[in-house]
Amino acid sequence: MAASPVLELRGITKQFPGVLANDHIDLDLKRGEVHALLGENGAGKSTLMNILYGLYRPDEGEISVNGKPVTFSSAKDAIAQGIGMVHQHFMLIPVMTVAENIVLGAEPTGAGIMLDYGAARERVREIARTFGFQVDPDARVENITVGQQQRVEILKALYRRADILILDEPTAVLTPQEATELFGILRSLKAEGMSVIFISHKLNEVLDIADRISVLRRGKKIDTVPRAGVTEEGLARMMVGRDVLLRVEKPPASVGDPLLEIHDLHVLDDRDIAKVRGVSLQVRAGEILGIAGVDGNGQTELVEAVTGLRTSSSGTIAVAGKTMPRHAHSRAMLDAGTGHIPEDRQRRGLVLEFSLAENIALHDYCYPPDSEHGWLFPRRLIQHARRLIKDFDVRGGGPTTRAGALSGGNQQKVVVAREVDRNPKVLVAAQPTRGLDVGAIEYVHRRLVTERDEGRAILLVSLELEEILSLSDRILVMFEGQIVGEYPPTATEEELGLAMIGAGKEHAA
Amino acid sequence: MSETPAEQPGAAPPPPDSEPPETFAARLSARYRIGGIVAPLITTVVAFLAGGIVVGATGHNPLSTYRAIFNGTGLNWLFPWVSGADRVDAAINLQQTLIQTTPLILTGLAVAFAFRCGMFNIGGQGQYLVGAYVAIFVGSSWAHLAGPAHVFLAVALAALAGAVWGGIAGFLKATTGAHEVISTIMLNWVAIWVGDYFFGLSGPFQGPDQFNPISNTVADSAKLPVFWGDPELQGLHVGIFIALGALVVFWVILNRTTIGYEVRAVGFNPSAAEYGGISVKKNYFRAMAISGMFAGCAGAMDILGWEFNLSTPAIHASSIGFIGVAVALLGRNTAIGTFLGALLFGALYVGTSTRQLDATVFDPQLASNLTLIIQGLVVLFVGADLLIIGIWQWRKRVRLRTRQPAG
Amino acid sequence: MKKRIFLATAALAVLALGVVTASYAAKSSHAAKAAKAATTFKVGLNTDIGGLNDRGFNHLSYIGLLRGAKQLHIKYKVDTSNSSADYIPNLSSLAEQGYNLIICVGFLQEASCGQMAKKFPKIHFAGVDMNAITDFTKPKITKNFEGLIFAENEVGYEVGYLAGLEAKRLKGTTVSSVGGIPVPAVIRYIAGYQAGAKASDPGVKVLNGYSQDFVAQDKCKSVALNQISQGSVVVFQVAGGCGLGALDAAKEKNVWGIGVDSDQSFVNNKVLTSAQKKVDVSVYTAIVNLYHGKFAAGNNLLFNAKNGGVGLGKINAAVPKSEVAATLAIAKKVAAGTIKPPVKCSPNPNC
Repeated sequence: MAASPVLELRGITKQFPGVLANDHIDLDLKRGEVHALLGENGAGKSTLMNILYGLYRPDEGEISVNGKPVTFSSAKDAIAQGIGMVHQHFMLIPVMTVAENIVLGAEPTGAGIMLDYGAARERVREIARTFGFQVDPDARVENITVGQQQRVEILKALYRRADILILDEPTAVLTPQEATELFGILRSLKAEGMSVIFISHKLNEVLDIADRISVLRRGKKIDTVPRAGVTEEGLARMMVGRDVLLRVEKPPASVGDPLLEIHDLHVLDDRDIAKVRGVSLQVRAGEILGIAGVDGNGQTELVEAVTGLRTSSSGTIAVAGKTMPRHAHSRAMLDAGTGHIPEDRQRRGLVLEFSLAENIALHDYCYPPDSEHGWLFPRRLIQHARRLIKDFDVRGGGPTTRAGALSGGNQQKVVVAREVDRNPKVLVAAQPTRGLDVGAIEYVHRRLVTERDEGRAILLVSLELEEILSLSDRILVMFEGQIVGEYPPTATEEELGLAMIGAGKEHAA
Repeated sequence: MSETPAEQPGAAPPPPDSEPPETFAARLSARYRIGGIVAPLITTVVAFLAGGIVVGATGHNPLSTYRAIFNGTGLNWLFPWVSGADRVDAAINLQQTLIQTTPLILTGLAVAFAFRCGMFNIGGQGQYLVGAYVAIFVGSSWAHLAGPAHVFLAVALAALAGAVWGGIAGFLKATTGAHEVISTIMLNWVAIWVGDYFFGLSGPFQGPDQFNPISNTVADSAKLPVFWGDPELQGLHVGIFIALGALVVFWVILNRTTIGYEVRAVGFNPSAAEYGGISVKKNYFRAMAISGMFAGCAGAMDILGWEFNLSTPAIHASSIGFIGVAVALLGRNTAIGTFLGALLFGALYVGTSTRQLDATVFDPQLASNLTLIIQGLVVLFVGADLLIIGIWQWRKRVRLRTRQPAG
Repeated sequence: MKKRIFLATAALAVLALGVVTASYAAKSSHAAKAAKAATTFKVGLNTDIGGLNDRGFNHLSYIGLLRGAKQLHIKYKVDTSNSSADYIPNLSSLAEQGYNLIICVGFLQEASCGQMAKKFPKIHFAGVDMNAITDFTKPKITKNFEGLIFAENEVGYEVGYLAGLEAKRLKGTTVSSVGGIPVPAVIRYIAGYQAGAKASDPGVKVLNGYSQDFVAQDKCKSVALNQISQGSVVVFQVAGGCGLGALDAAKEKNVWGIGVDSDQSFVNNKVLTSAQKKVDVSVYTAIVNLYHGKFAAGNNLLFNAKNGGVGLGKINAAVPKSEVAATLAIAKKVAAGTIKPPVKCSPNPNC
C-alpha cells in the first residue's frame, strides 16, 4: 500500500451557533485502507464528513486530495475529486430501477440529448462485476431489500468514479447477515485500491473492519490508532472519556409469578396483513424475556397489541392475572400496570414540542396530583419533572425545556424515567437503545436490570442480538409472526441468527 | 401571557437529532418558533409598505393616506392629546373597530383552537352563520323572556349550534377519517344555503317584509346593551367583553386543564398522545366542537350586538369566518396573538372604510378599491409570512441537513 | 385636566369615561356642524354591499350624482359599504358632516336609512328603490325621507306590447320573462310585460321563471333555455347581471331577448329592445329638486313614463317600421296615463 495519503484534513474547524462542532481536526486517509471515524452521537463525525463532501464550508482548515489543496463549494466539487458518500438515509427514487437511480444526475447521453440507457446499464453491470456486487440493474428500488439499496448507493458513488467512499453509519439499517455482506464488499473495494471512511459508534464492527481508527469526542479528535492493539474497552474510554462497562453485570434472576401472559395472539397490521400469528408467551416477575428477530417479523405489532395501541384480531392478553378486553385502549393497558419504552421515542415516546415536565406527565396528567377534576397543575408537573430529571440524571435542560431540544440519549432517559417512575408491573422495552451512544446504552441496560430486580416483568424486543444476549434471562426468536424457538442467554449469535431467518432448529418453548 | 412552560424565550438550540415532527401543526409550530414574534411584525410592516407603494402609484401621498387610515381606526382615541371634535370622531371610529374586532377574536379562536389540536378549521364561516341563525331565531321569537335570560339563551344556543356544526366535521374525521378541511368547507356552503333558504323569499324564517329576503329582527330584550356610544349610531356593545373573556377561556382550557393538555398533545403528535393513553378520536371531535362554539358565539355577537337581522345578500357577502383564519395565523394560534390579529384586521376594516378618506383627494371609485387592496395585501402577506419562514427553514435544512453539533 | 385623567385611568375606566364625554360632545358638535352646513349644499351617497362597480343601481346612482354635482357645482361624497356593518357608520358620518341630502341606494339598507332619518331630522334622506309610503321598517320613515321609486310596470307594458307584436309576426305562441328574485320592482316589470303582450296578442301564452339570483349568469341562462324549449320567442330578462345569461340564451337559440334597467342593445344583435329604469335620472332629480327647495317629504318621487324616469331603449333594426310605430304610440298612451298597466300579475300576484 502506498504510504502517501489520498486525503488529508488539516485543522478543520466548524462553529455552529453555540456549538463548536469541529475543533481543529486533523485526519488523513491512505490508499486502500478502511479508516473508521468513531464517536458518540454529536461528537462531530457527521459535520466533518459533510465538510468533506462539500455540504458545509469549514471556518478554518484545509483539505487536500492527493496532495493538492482543494476547496469544495458543493457536493459536485467533491464528486469531481473522486469522493462519494453514502448517507444514513438513502437518496433513491423508489419507483425507478436500480440502473436508473445509479445514473440519475450523471446520465450518459448518446446521440444528442437522448439518454443512452443501454450503455448506462452495461456500465452498472460492469462495476458490479468488478467489485462482486449482487444487484439486478433492472429491479425497481422499491422491490429490493434495504441491504441491496445500500449497495445501490455504493454503486452510485463508484459509477461516478469515486475512489474515496464515505459511509455514514452504514450498518444501522442492516441485519447481522447484511452487515457481514457489506463488510465483504468493503474488503473487495479495499483490495481494488479504494479508500473508505467508515463512520460508526459501534465498537465491535469498527474493530471488525477498520485498519485505523480515529476517535472524536465533543468536536475534538482524541487520537488515531491502528486496529492492532486496541480493545473495545480502550476505544469506549476514548469515546466517552471515562471507563465504560460494556458487559452488563447482572445477578441471577429471582423469578416470581407471571405478570404478562399472552395466549394465541393474532394481530393484523394497517394493511390487514397478519403480522402476529399465534404468539403465546409468559413473562414473570423479576425476569427479562428477550424477543429476537429480524425487523418486520411482527415484533412491532406484538408490542403495539400488548400496549393497547393496536387491537388484536384474536387471542388474549392478561396483565397481572387480569385478562384485558380485546379492544382495550392504551389507557386501559396503562392503568392495568403496563409500562412501555417505545421503539421510536420521537414519534411515540415523546411530544417533542412539549416541555420535559409535560412529557413526563404524558400518562398520568389525568390523575392526581397532576390534575384534579380536569384542572391541570403545571407547578406540580414541574416539581415531578425536577425530581425525575435529578434521579435519572437527564442532562441538557430543565423541566421547562422542550423535549426536542435534548440529545437522543437524554430523551430516552426521560422516557425511561417516566415509565419506570409509574411503577409498572410489566415493562415493555422495544429497542430501548436504538440510536443511542455507548454511554447512554450502558445507562439503559443497567436500568433495565435494576427494574428487573425490583420485581417487574420485562419484555425486551430488540434487533441487536448483543443486547438480547446480554440482558435476557430467556430468549424467544420471532420469525414471520411466530415464536420459532426459546433459547437460554448462553446461546450464540450464530444460533439465534439462523433461527431469525427461519433456519433454526425448533427448541422446546 | 406565556402560553406553556415550554415556550420560554431562548429555550434551547435546535434539536440535535430530531426528525421533522409529523403533524402540520407541529411543523408549523416549529416554523413559528424560528420566526418568533419578529416574523408577524415584519409581515405587517411589509404589507403596509406594499400598500403604500400602491397608494403612491395612484398619485397620492402614502403617509397622509395611512394617517387617515390610522385616524379612521379610532386608535388615536388612545392618545390623550386628541381632543374636541377629533376625539368625538375617534371615539365613534374606535367603537366600530372594536365592533369588528369582537367577532374576529372569536372566529380567530375557532381556528386557533382546532389548530392546537392539529386541525385546520376552515369552517369558521359556517359555524359563525349557524350561530347567527340561531341567535336570530331565539332573539326574535322568545320575546317574552326577561332581558338577561333572553340574551344568555340566545348566546348559549348560538354557541351550541356552532359547536354542533364544528362537531360534525370533527366527528367525520374521527369516525371516517374525512379531512376536516374538505368537510368544513362543505359545511360552510351548507350553512350559507340553509340561510339563503331560511331568510330568502317565502323561506320559513323570512321577516315581516314579504318582498325582501331579510330575516326577522331580534327583539330589544335580546340585544346586547351598548355601553359606549349611541345605541342608535351602532355604538359599542358589551360583546367585546364576551370576546375578551373567550380569550381567557381559550388560554385557560389549553394551559390549565386536562382537556387542553390532550388537545395540545394530539396537535403536536397524535401517535405519542395515543401512546400516552389519550383518545385521539375523541379529541378531534371535542376540539372541533369547542372551535365551533367560539365561532357560533361570534355569530351571536354580531346579530345581538348591532346587526339584529340578516339578509341573504349579507349572508353571501360575509367573510368574518375566513378573516378568522388570517387572524389566527398572524396571531400564531395563541390567545394574545389572536387578540392582536383581530384588532389589526378590525382596525384595518374600519380604518380603510371609504368614509375615512377625503372625498376631495380620493376619487370614490379609487377609494373603494384602495381599501380592498390594502386589506388584501395584509391577508396575502400573512400567507407569505409562512412561506418566507418556510423557505428560510428549507434553506437552513439543506445546508445543515445532517448536522449533529456536539453537546 | 381631563387628558391627564384619561392617561392615568385603567383601560376599562377610560372606556366608561369615554362613553360619557363622547355622547355629550357628539350633540354639541353635531349642532355646530349643522349650522355651518347651511352655507354650502353637499350631497352624500352610500352604496349597498354591491359596491360602486355593480353595473346596476349603485353605478347608475353614482352617475346621477356626478351629473347633478357637476351641473350645480356642489360638493359630494360617495361611501361604499363592504358589509352591512358599514351602513350606519357611513350614513351617520355623512350626517354628522352636515351633508344636506344623503342618498341611500338599495333595499338592503332601508332599515338603516330609516333609522338615520329619524336620528338626524335636519338632514334629508332619499332612498333609491325604497317606498316611503308603506311602512316597511321600524322605525317608521320620517318627513325628512323621500323614496325614489319607479313605474317599472309602465315600461314593462311597452316592451311587452312589442314582444306580443313580434310573437304574432313570427307565429310564436309564447313570450317569457326571467326574473331574479321576486322583489316588488321585478314583479312590477313582469306584471306590465305580461299585460302588454296580451294587449297586442291576446292569444299569447306568458311564462315567467325566477333564477333566485341577480349575479350568476348561468342560472338565468338555464331558466331562459327552458322557456325557449317551451316555445318562447321573446325572453325578457329582469335579473340584472344574471339576466345577461338569458340574453345569451336568446341569441344562441335565435329568438328575441329584451334588456332591463339600462339600454342593453350593445349585448348582442338579438336584443329586441330594453326596458330602461333611469336610476341616474332619479338621483339627479332628487338632488336638483332639493337644491331648489323641493322635497317629497315623507313621500315618494315616482319615476314613470310621463317624466321619462322609465322608457324604451333602442329598438332592434330588424323590427318592421309598422311595429315600431305601434309600440311608440302605445308608449305615448302609457305616458299620458290613458293606459294604466297593472303592478301585480294575475292570477298569481307574484308572477
